[in-house]
Parts: sequence; C-alpha cells; structure tokens
Amino acid sequence: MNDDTILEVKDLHIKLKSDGVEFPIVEGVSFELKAGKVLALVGESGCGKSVTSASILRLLPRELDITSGQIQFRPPGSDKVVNIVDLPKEGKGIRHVRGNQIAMIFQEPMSSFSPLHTIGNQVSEVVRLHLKVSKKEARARTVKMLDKVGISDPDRAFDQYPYEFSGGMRQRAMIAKALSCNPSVLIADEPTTALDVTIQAQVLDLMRELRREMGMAIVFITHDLGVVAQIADDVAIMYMGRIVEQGPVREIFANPRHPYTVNLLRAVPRLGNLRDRQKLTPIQGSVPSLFDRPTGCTFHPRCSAYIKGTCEASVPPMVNISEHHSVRCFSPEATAPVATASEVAT
Amino acid sequence: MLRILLKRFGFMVLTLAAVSVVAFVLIQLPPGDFADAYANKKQATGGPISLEEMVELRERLGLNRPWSVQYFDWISKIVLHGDFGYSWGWKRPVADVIAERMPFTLILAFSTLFFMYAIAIPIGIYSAVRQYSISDYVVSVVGYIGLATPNFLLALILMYLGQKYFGQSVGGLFSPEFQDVDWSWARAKDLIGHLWVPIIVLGTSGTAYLIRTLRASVLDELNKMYVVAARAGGLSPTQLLLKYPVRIALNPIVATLGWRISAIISGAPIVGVVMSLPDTGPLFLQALLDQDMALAGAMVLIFAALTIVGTFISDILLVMLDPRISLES
Repeated sequence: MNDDTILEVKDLHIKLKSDGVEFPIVEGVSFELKAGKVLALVGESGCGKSVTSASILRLLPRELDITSGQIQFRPPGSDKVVNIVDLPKEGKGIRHVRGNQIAMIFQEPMSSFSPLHTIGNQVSEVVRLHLKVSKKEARARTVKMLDKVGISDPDRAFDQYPYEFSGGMRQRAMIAKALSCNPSVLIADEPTTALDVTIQAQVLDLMRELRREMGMAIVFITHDLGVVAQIADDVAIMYMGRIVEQGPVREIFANPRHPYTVNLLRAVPRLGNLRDRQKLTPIQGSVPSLFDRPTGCTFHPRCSAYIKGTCEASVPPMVNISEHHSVRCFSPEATAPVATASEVAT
Repeated sequence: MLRILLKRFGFMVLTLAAVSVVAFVLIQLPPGDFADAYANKKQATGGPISLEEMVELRERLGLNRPWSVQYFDWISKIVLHGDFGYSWGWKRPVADVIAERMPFTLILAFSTLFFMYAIAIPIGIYSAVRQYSISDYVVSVVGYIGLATPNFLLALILMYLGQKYFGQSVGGLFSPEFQDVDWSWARAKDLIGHLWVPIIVLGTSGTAYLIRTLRASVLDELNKMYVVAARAGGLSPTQLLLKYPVRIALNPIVATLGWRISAIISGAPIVGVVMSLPDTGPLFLQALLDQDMALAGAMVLIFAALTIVGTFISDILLVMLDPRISLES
C-alpha cells in the first residue's frame, strides 16, 4: 500500500446466497483511494456499486457475503494498516471504524432518520459514541456541525424531529452526522439521487466545500456522469460486478477506451447535441439478469466491438493503457474523444 | 394540554353515559323480568309463589314502570348519590356485593396484564431478531395454539392436569383452609399459589397476540434504512436494537393496551365460572341470569369505565412515545 493511499480494495468478491445457490454480485473489484481525493464508482442499477461501498463498512445484508479479497484501511495518524475483511462481524474493531474513521451517507434522506428521535439526538449519537465528551459538549459540537452544513437556526434544529425537515435539510443533517467525528474517508452512496436538481447542486457544492475544509477522501457512488464530472478526481466504471475502466476523470472522459464507457458517455445529454439536433444514442439491449450471467466479458452480448470466440470465452484482464488509466477489454476502442469532462458537467 | 385533557374527559363521560343506556336496554331485553326469574327459582326449590305475590313484588321493585323511568331512577341515584342501588338477588346493597369481589377481579386483571407484557415483549423481540430459527418456530407454533384455544377449554385442561399430576386443587383462589379467614402472610402466599392458573388461562391468547404483533413490527423496522444508517455510525447491535426498532415497534403494543384490558375483563366471567373464582365473573353472570338489574348494570358500568380509562391511558402513552401524534385537532 502506498503512503498516500488510505483505502485500498483488492480483488473483492461478494456473493449472494439464495436457497443454497450462490450468485456472484461483485467479482474482483480493486481500487485505491488516496488521501483527500474523490473517487467515483459509476454504473447502472444492480452493477454492484452500492454493495461494494456497503462492504467497506461491513454493512452488507445477511444474504450477501464477502467471499474473498481485502479491504485495507490506514486509520488516520497510524502506520498500521487494518484489513477490514478480517475484523469480526459487529465487533469492537469495525464499530470503532464506523462513523468515526469511515463515515457513510445514504441515498434516501427521508428514511435515513428514525421518526421518533430528534435530529440532534441522532446526529450527536456518533459524537457521544466515539469521542469521550460530556452531553453538553456533544450538543455544542453537533450544533456547530449543523451550522456548518448550512442548517439555519441550528440550536432550534437540534431539538426538532425529522418530519419537520425537508429532504434537502435531512441530507444536510446526514452529512453533519457523517462528518462530526472528522472521518478520513466518507462513503457517499448516491447522496443526491433522491433530491431535486436545485437541492442536488446545493448538496454537491456543500460536499466540495467541506472536503476542501476538512480534507477527507470520498468514495462517491452514482449513476450520474454529470455529477462525476463535477466532484470526482478519479472514476471507476462498473458493469455487472466488475470494474471495466478506471482512471482520472479528465482522462476517461476525453479518452474512453471500453465500449461500455464510450456508450455511456454518448448517452449523456449535452447542450451542444441539442443545438445540433443530434439524437442521444442509447446502449443497445439491457443489463442481463443476475441469474443469467453471460460468460467471459459480461458486456459482450451488448457490445459493438464483440469478437466472436474471444469475448465470451474468458474474462479480459485489466490492462494499463497509460500510467493511471486501465481498461478491461479485448478490443478497446481507438482514441476517439466523445466528450470532455467540462461538457458533461453542465 | 389541560384543555385537551378536559375535553377528552368530557368525551369519556359521554361514552360512559351512552354505554349505560345500551347496557340497561340490553339487560331488559330478554323476555321476563326479575319477578319471573325469582318465581322460577322458587318453583324449582319447591316453594311456588302466587300470582298476587308476583304482582306485589313487581309493584315493590318498580318493574311496572316504563324502562326509561326505571333507567333514570337508577342512573340518577348513581350520579347524584353514588348509590348503586340494591341487589334483589343478594338482598344487599350492590356496592357491598361488588366491593367484596372487585379486589380479586382487579388483582387478576392487572397481574394478567403484567404477565402478558412481561412475557410477550422479550419473546417478541427475540423471535424477530432470530427470525426463522428453531426457537422462532417453536414460539410461533405455541403462539398459534395459544391464540386458537378458547379460555374455558384451557382452564379445564389446566385444572385436570393440576389435579391429576400435582394433586393441587386449582379451582378458586384459595385453599379451603384459607377461604374465609382474615388476611395474613400465609393467605397471601396461598393466593399467589392459586393465581397463576387463571393468569395463564386469561393471558395466553393475549400474550400470543402481543408476541405476533411485536415480532411483525420489529421485523418491519429492522429492514428500514435508518437502522442501517445508525449501524453505520458505530452502534453495537444491542444498543441499536433497543434504541430504534424496539422503541418504534412498541407503538402498536401500547396503542392496543385499552383493548387488552377489555379483552381480559370480558374473558373473565366464563373463566371465573369454570374455575369457581371468588371474583366478579360468576357474580356478573348470575346477575344477568336473574335479571338482577342494579347489580348487572353496575358491573357493566364498571367494566366499561375500566375499558375507557384503559384506552385513554394508551392514548396518553402514545402521545408521549411518538412526537408525530398529537391529541389536538
């Protein structure tokens, strides 16, 4: 593990167990997160991005299991690297990481708070749990944090209930809760998906600002390439449980090599397209069922560059194209820019 | 808040008044009256009474008047003088007859209630957390049997088993030697020794119902997003379970407190008769059979009051538990 890497996922496999049969959900995902950087995990629904992110905090539901691989984490201010996969389930070790060193925010701000407890009670819970402070101090800290995420009259908000908050305010409170112990990694599982566009932009701005101020690294899960262009440094494109292409955002957007990435970028609406009255190009076919997984490269039934006899025979290896850019394809596309990051970010 | 409480209290009084009318009419509804019942009884014991005597009896008890007059006569005495009238069957004031037996009914009802919640809450939580485990299945099967078995049958089975295998007389609330003596430590111990059988009989179906309800609502809550979110904050499984899912799953349990009380009380008479308990159950049944109006009416009123108060208490508790609920508007 490099010195500036704080989280490294290595060859992670996660399987779904159902009636004694196992279905692969995540197959050999590897990525590195550098201190203070934002990595976006991008993919369609069901590609395993949320499962991957939940496994970092060992929050997988009962029927999902990590079958092999490592999740290496370097706690802040420590040289010792912890393999999160080895920590006992629900033990002290993982609980010390959760909310304290690695925090998480979720997609549904409406349902991420208990309706019967005050916002303050739930936000300050992590502070009381991980930092040895008095009740009064925990309240002061939480009020400060609520103020920081832009909740007006935070002292009053502390004693309010979630039903008195709007969706955007709840997501702000969620962010306050996640950041109140100053974690070195924040996992954001589609934090803006359930919000309307204006609030989405505000929350993204807030996250960018807080990252600059507090310096945490972020794993940002999304299906929205526009959001990726706005917030991420690096991006990993996932398809059916595998990362198919990975690299810095600028590089991937300017020079996508995997046919899936190329198609994804073509499917993003852009102002220029509208002017030229070009139609958006959808990706042909749809994601195969989990229980009917194609052999070899799982994208081959939908791929325009499909090579008969090769693509369905074996899984292509991850190949480095340049120092930071790698792709998992037997016939990567030639360099043909589809879009630039700034274009997609509109 | 005080205004709302007063308003609620007003509604409670109105409900009680309505119940008293309905109860009075219902008790009068079967053909015949106290005089007929009295004559039948006399006949059965060999001492027939004459028609004149019956007419005289009706006159004396005021049974000839229209029922509305009888009702107002009865209810105004209760409201204005706290006088529940005179039991024709027992030839004693109703208040005395009830006072003698009411404590046992209350002891029985509240210990059953306590027993139900004390057993059902931990078991319900446990079987939700260990869903589909062997113990969950065992609890479910026992629960369904408990739900499906009528009270009186369970009473008969327990009495039979108690008699046959423990040689204990499980009927009644006291052993013969403690039947009519003054209260003492030994008598209280004897009461506790006898109390468990009617408690089980009265409480089993309610306990089973509570277990099912609690299991379902905890299971519902366990899969909610906020539970995962709280877990992601670092709470231990027990802290998490008690702070969120259980707390929220208590709502339906608390909300039905009033119904539980009335279920226990309305189940009590049959059990009381089968097990010959010295509580108000057999008294109530006899009063209805004899058309002993004052006694039966007073008991219906007391039972209704208990139910209404129970519902009121559960409403108040709900408001305290759930900030989204308010008694206003």
